Formats: sequence, C-alpha cells, structure tokens
Amino acid sequence: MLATTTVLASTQGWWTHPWLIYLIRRSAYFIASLVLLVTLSFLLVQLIPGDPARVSAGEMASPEVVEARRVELGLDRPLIIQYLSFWRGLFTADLGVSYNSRLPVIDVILARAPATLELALAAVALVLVIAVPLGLAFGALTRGERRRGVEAGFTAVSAILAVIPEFLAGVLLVYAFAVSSQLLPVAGRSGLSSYILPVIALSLGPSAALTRIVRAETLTVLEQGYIRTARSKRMGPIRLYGRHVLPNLLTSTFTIGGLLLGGMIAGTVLVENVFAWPGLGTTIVDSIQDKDYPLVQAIIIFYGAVVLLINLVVDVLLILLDPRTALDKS
Amino acid sequence: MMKTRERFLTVLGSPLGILAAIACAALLFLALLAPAIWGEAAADIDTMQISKGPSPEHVFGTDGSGRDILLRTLVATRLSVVMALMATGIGVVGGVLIGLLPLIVGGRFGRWIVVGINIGVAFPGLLLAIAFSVILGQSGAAATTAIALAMVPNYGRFTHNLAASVWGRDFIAAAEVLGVPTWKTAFRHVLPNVRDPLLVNAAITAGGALVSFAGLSFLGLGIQVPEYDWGRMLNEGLTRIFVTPAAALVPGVAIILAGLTFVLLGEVLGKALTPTTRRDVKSRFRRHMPSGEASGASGPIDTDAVLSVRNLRVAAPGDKGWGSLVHGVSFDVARGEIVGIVGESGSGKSLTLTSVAGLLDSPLSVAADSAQFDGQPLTLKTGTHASSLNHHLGQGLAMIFQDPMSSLNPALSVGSQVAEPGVLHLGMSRSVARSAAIERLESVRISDAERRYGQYPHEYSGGMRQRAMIATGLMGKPALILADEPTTALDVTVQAEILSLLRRINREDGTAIVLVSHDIAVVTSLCSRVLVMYGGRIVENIGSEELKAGHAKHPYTKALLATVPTMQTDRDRPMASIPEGADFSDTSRTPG
Amino acid sequence: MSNRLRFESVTVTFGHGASAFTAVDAVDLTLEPGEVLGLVGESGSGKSTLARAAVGLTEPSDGRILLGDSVISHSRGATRRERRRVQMIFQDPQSCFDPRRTIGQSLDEALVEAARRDGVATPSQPTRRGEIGVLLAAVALPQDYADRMPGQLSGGQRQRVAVARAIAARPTVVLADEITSALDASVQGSVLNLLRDLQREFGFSVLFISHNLAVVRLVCDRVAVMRGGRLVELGETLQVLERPRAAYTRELITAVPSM
Repeated sequence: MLATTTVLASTQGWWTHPWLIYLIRRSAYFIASLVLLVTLSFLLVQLIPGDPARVSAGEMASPEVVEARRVELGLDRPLIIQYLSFWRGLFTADLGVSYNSRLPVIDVILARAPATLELALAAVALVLVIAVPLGLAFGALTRGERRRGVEAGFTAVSAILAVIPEFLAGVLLVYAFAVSSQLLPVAGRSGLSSYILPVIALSLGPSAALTRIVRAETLTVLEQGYIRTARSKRMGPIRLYGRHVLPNLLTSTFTIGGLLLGGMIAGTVLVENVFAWPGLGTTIVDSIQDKDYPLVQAIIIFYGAVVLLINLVVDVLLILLDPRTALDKS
Repeated sequence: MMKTRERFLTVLGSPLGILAAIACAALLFLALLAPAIWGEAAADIDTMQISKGPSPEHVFGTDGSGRDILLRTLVATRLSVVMALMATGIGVVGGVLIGLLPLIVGGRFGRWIVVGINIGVAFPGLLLAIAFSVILGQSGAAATTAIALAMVPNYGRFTHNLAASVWGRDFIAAAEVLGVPTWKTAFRHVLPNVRDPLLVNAAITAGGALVSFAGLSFLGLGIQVPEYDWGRMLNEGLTRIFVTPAAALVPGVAIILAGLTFVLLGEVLGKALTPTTRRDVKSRFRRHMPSGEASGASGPIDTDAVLSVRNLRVAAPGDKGWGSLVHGVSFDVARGEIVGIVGESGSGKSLTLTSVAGLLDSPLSVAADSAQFDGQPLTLKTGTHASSLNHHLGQGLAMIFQDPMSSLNPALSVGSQVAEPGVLHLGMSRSVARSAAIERLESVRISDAERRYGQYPHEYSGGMRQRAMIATGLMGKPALILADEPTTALDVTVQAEILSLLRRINREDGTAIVLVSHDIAVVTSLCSRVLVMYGGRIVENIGSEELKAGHAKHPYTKALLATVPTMQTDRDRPMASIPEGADFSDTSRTPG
Repeated sequence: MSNRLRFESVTVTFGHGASAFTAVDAVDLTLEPGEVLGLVGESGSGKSTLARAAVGLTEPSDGRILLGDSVISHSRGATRRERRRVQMIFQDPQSCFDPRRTIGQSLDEALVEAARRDGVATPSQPTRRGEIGVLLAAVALPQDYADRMPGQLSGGQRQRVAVARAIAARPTVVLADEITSALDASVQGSVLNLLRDLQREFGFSVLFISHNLAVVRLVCDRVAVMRGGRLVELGETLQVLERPRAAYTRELITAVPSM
C-alpha cells in the first residue's frame, strides 16, 4: 500500500505527494490555531464579568475616568468593529498603549521579548544536550533488567528532580548561591553569569523528565527486531547505539520535547519573577494586577504564538526525520 | 499470576509501599486536621519575634509578621491539597469524557473533537491560567477553574490515545458485530481496560496540579490574603530570603514533599495494578541451572562439522526461581548440510537457535558443555560476542529472523544495512561495500538493485525484505546460515521463492543451513535432516526422506505428522489433533 | 431463501484521491444456506476486508450486500438488526476477548444482544446462565470455565469459546477469519472439527477465510480465490484444487510445500 502511494504520487505530480499534503494541512492548522488564539485573547476583555471599563479604571475612579477608559479600550463600539480593529492593530503593529507606562504596547513587547526568548532558548538547548545522551546511556546500562540498583537510583533521583517546579528551583538556587555563598548573581540580566541560575532553574525539571522518557524509549528500541539484527552483525557498542538506536529515538524525543518546550515557555514567566529577569514574564504579572488590558492581551498573543510556532517546527522536523509520519497522519 | 489484591499487599509491604503509605497518611492528616490543631497558633502574630531564626519556641523561626513558619506551612497543607484534588477531579472527569467522546460519536464530528483536543493541548496550562485570572480576577476559585480547564485537554488526549489503542483490538470489533451499542462498548469494554494507567496518571497529575497552584499563588494570581498556601508563602518568603531564608525554604520543601507523595502514590498504584513480569530472583545462575540430560547427538564434538553443540541449556528467572526452557540439546550440522528444527510454541526451537548465535540477552541465561563453529570454539555466554567486533562470526555466520517487518532498521536505508558487514568485517571501504551490496541484492533477485539500495525498509515488500536480509548475510562467504522461521510471516508464494533461494545458495556455495520452523511441511521440503523438539528437548533426529516415509520413532513426531493436513489427507475423517495437556515427555527419547 | 448471503459487485476503497486504495474490487459472491465456502488469498487479496464489510466493520464504497432479501450494507434500524445474524470469529485469540471480563460475561453479552436483536424479552439471569453452560459443553469445555478469565485459557481453548460466542448469537452466517492461523497445528484440528460439527447441527453457513489450502480442502464444500481485490476463481473444492482454471490458483497450489 505504501509502495503504491509512492508510485502514484510520482506519476500524478508532486502536488499530490503525501509530504506536501501534510505540510499544507499542518500549516492550515497553524493558521486556524492562531486565529483562535487572537480571538480568545480579544474575548478576554469582553468576558470580564461586570463592566470591564470600570474594572480597569478601578473601583475608586470617577464616572468621567471610567468613560474615558471605555473609549480608550474601544468598548463603546459595536463588538464586530472592535474585533476587526483588533486584527487591524495586529497587522499594523499598533496594539494600543499601555496605561501605566503610556508607552505603545508594541514597544514594550519588542523591548522585553528578547530577554524571555534568550532564556527559553538557552534552557531548551541545555535540556536537549543533557537529556538525550544521559537517557541513552542509562537505557544502555539498565537494559534487560541489568543493574537494578542503578535503575532504582536513576528513577528516584529523576523523580525528585522532575517534581521540583521551576520557581522553586529558582528559589533554592537563589538561596544556595546568594544567601549562603555569593557566587552568582540572582537578579537582573547583566553579563553571562547572570544567565546561569535562571537557565538552570528553568531546565532542571524538564531535563529530568526528558531523560526518563529518552531512557524508556531506548529500552523500547532495544527490544526491537532490528537491534537483534544489528547485534547479529557483531558491531561495537558505539556503532550500535549511535547508528542503529539513536535515530529511532529521535521521533518520540522530539514529540515529547515539543510539549516540554511549550511548558518551558510558560515556565519563563515563573522564573523571571524569581530572578527579576527583565522579560515579558515580569511584565505580564504586573499588567494583570494593574488591569492593563491592551498589554495583557498582546503578551498572551505573543506567548501563544511562540508556542504554536514551536509545535509547528517540531512537527515539520518530525516529518523530515521520519517520512513515514506524513503517511500516517495524512 | 498474582491477583490484584495480592499484588497490592505485596507492594504495600515493600519499602516503596511503606514510604508511600506514610507520606499519604501524613499529607491526609495535615490536610484534615492541621488547621484545627494549629490554626490559631499559626495565625498568632508575635511582634516581638519578627524575622527571627530557629528557636525552641519556633522550630524554623518566624516570618516578616512574626508568625511561626513551620506551623503556617503545616496549616497551609489543606488549601494546597484541597485545591489540587478539586481541580484534578474536575479535570480528570472532563478529560475522560472528552477523550472517549470521539470514539463514541465517531465520524467527522469525532475527528473535530480530536482536533479541538490537540489545539487545547498545545497551550501550556499556565498561560490558560493566566488568561483566566484576567477574566475571573485573582482568587482561589479562579485558579481552580483555570487549572481544571487546562487539565481537560491534556488528560483528554491521554485518555483518547489509550482508548484508541484498545479500540483497535478484536474484542471491540466482536462487541460491535454482536450489536452492542457504541456508547455501551466504550464504558463497558474500553474504560475498564484503560482504568489502570488513567488512575496512575491521575495521581501524578494531582501532584502537578498542586505544583501549578503553588506557581499561580507565587505569582500573586491565585490565593489572595488573608488566605495562604505554600505558593503565597514562597512569594512572601522570597522577598525576605536574605533575612529569613526559612520563610521560603520551609514551604518550598513542603511543596517538594507533597509532590513526591503523589508521585509515590502513582508508583505504588502502577506496580499494584500492572501484572508485572519482574523477576526478583538474583542471578545465581551456575549453581541453579538445571543440568538437563543431553538429547539429540551424543558423544564428543564433531570437529568436521560446521556447527557442533553439546548439552545446551537455556533458563529464565521467574517468580519461583529459574525455569528451564531448553534442557540440554546437542546436535551437529555437517558442512553444506541443510538441517531443520521443527517444533511448536514452547518447544525451545527458537531459543536454541538464538543462543547458538550468541544473541540471547539477559535476563535469560545460557550454558553448554561445549560448542564449536567452523573449527573454532564458540562461547555461548549471554551477550558476549554479540556486541563485539568478531570478524569470524561476522562474516562466517549469517542470520535471518522471522519478522521482516521489524528486522530492518526503519531509520536507515536498506542498502547501507546490507553493506554493513562488508565495512565491519571484510575491510571494505564504503564505496566497495556499496557495490558489493548491490551485487548481492541482484543475486537474491531484487530487481533495479541500484535504485533499491537507497530505499528504506517501508518501501520494500515483506518478501523483498527477507531477500535483503539474506543478501546481508551473503556479504562474506558464510559457512552457515541460521534461519529462524524466515517464511512464517510471508505469503505462500513468496515463501516458495525464499525457500528456493535458500536451496540455490546451498547448492551453489555449499553453505550449510539450519532452518527453524513450526511448519513440518516447509522443513521437510527444504531440509535433508530434521530435528524435532518438544518441551525443550530434541526428541527425534531423522532424515527427511525417512520422516516422509513414515519411519518416525518418537510418539510426538508421529502425532505431529498426523495433525498436518496435506493435499492428500482424507476428507471424510475429522482432522487429527493432539489433545491439550497431552504429555510426551516421559517416553524414552531416541538421541542420535 | 432468507439465509443466503450475497455480495453484489462489492467494492471497498480506503482513502481518497491519489492515495486511494481499492481493497475489494467489484466482487460478486454468494454463500448458499448451509454451505461451507472457503475464501483463499494472500495478503492484500481483500478477503478479510470483504468479510468485515459483511458484518459492518467497514462499508462498501460501491455495490451492496444482502442477507436473504434484506440489504444489510449501509444498514440502519431493522436491517441493522438483520445484519447481526451474520457473526464473525476473529484470528487472534489474544485480543478477541475483553481481558477484564470472564468467559461467562463475554458469552452472556452475546446472549443479551441476540435477544435484543430478535426483539424478544431478555431471558432471565438463571436462563442465561444455563444457556452458557450449554454453549460451553457444545465446544467441549468444562462448565467452570465460565468463571475464568481469558488469560487463563490456552489459545486453542479461547478460539473454542470464540466459536461458542458466535453461535450464542444464533447466527445464520458465520465468518471465520483465519481462525486457526495463530494456533499451533496440533490444536487447529480440534477447533475446526468443532466448527464443522456445530455447522452440521445448527445449519448456519460458513465463510471460511484462510491462506492454508490444505486446511480449506478438508473443511470446505466450495472454494473462492481472491487476488488483489478481485475474485479469480470459484467452484467445488476438489475441482478448483485438482483442476484449477486460473493461473494464479495454479501458482498457489504449486507453492504449497508438500510432504
């Protein structure tokens, strides 16, 4: 059946190739999700019980201030007009003005986003670099019920580390490195050393979780028939694990990794608040408490869009890694 | 096979179980009773004792308002645990329903639900929670709602994946054919079969919910003053961490301990609910390996034979010690001979082959008095030479396995896998190996070999994959091919082609073959000599012609022959079979 | 008359557009009341898909399936209940029973659904319990097996219970899809003898799907050969196997390893 598909595709034109069909479908999915994200972000303000303008202006505000805020938020216009102008704002990069700072929202986002993205990317890189080799190694060591002691130790340590949330890891690191010893900076973003603790805090839990998963996948792959074939060819362990085991791990590693990545984006919000990191995470908490809606909506769209983009990239990578996935999914 | 209740008690008795029980009891106790016992004391503001360190009065010191840190932490347990459990309850129930719905509803609508779940999963829970706190304001109720709603798509997808895999099994189809309504099938047949992993995951999810709540409170978006939970305490403690670290560390440790409690609960549930095949017997192999009586060939090793084995034993650890799977098998394979090993499931035929090839892996154990391949001694210890660069075996011994679907690495091109022995053992360069591999592919009648070289296993048919496996083995000039049920998974016409290929290789190159199969017709059509295995022993060692002429000696062989239908079997009589439970092991065996 | 199963130009296609795959291609086949018809073919022949279409696990993209005078393909309501007179026995003894329910519960389900299908009142618990005992005896299994779990039975025993479940539904037609392919040769005889005996006793017709020509020769009155979704030969068993007309049939017969 698969052979038939490939033959058919090559005789009927490239546009019917399963890969392309999948890519098109996946991109449509991405755009639909984006539209949904923007719509939900728009509705955030509308769904606030009571009068959003009053809520935003504050209980103590006078009616004039509330009215002024209503006009500012555009709440005096029909819903559909508000929705359309919300979209227009996104396309023209005019997302309104923040109440507190009186700065254009887009400027705030552009100023703070790089810090958040740097943190996230560094942490993701660290997670991958740690989890894949470590998980593979532990899988190789504990296969076939060998070294039960090592397995028990691994399970216990990784479970404990995986339980520690990023903000708590951050607090503990602050304590360890600032309170009891003055080794590393624990607030702000200035110089390479200031990245160390926030990145560790953000990547600790996901590293432990992904290592467990890579180990489990390694054990599964080692059970497969093609590994027995490889072993029958009498090759050294490096070639066996590097050439025969590793490529088969990558699919599930990336799949789960993608989900973890999404979680880590959210995690930046928490870690930034521990380390006073000048990214969007600290901004969003302040703006929620200040009821600075234009800013909140924009930041939510930003985070959501980044997560959706990551998912898209991961899915495309998976297709490139293993072409069969396209056939399964289309 | 232990029953669930027995397993539960066993697990509870283990160190893990005891730890889990203590932790759960402590958490429960604190959640239920701590506010009643220490509530007032925890709220007690002692302005004389602000931000003091540990003292006899206050075990971990006091916070910025002069309140005892330890007591506050203990009292905060209730709110943290209760919110986590409530959110988990809602999230799990919602998730299960959403996960099952696509299967019940089916069709296009069902697919849209799955799409919806996938979109929901894409958004991290924290972002959803933040969004909700905008709408609903900042409060414990808003946080609970947010976390519960964020849990639904994740749990829903987990449920759906589990349910979908159960849905593909035949008993679901059987229920549909009987006429059971779909919704009834979902609840009666699917849910009980996914209940266990769902429960385990629910326990772990509850731990996650607890941690998420702490996160929200930490950000100030969850519980508001005057209520407090661990996250809130962490938030307050962080601002004073240089002065009173305990104010942050104690609630922090509490979060970790509570999270671990749920993880332990999940582990215990997992172990108790899954029938485990774990062995708890230490490997004291040499002393306990049953030394079976040799069956098959007798006498010392035949050094002219290409393969010679004496008293091969294989055992597996079980609940009650080592179980013997192969009880002392001995045989010789002469150069250029085709020998068949036939037996049913449980006869040990595949294990015999796998252990001779040195591919048996732990926890199974193998031993033999002596073994020799192609003039050199063969060590059969588990996994010794299988993972080392052993040139003698790498090019002298070829192997074909049963399932061509899974015998080739799906991530690598077929050609590179065929060429691999050339690179490993024959000192070929990549390009030389490539040409040699293409030649071998042609010799096994794979057309368009040059193009096929670069293709992946999923682009080959089952028969082609087996041919590719044979081609791989032929890279060197093997003295022996070990074939483990090579045609069982193939169509009968393809099987005929593979068998004739093997015959040709034997005829042209003088390669000996050992063919293992459950199909006595296949074995007798290809092999000149047949070994019949039953219950881990060789019970018959006979030439094919003699076997076909009806000269089999062992009762099992005779019974087995009778059950195999041929195109000449009498149609008017009922089919012959061997009654279940019949035991042929007492009858004296005829070795040699 | 009402027991004849007819496939009228049945086509089953999966997928659409360029990746469409035709599993069954315009097959005309009739299963006469009380006969045992063998359906042989290799992988990709469409034999299993044809059977699954008959019981509604998949629907024909073209053509129709009739049981007697009722069109049971794409059925709803009353005709869907008619369709339940066609029952199926599956190949894999490992997965054909709910591992969490006892044998008795699985058989009970068949009895209850059969009553629902026939529009009669559900028999009482004791009646059903008795019926289960009769069924187990009919497949030569001890009474106490009703309280056992599928995991406690061997493959051959499970297939016998599968036969019992099929006849519990009082079928007019039984589709046996490679029911002994996953069993050792030594036990397949007992399962097939059983099927044959019950067929003679209750008079249902059997569509016996198999890739094993030697078994088909022993069990079936007529044989149909499929290849690539098409029916290539149909006739009396001995006729087809000793004097095949189609080249593919000859190829199949020669390929069978002989002793």
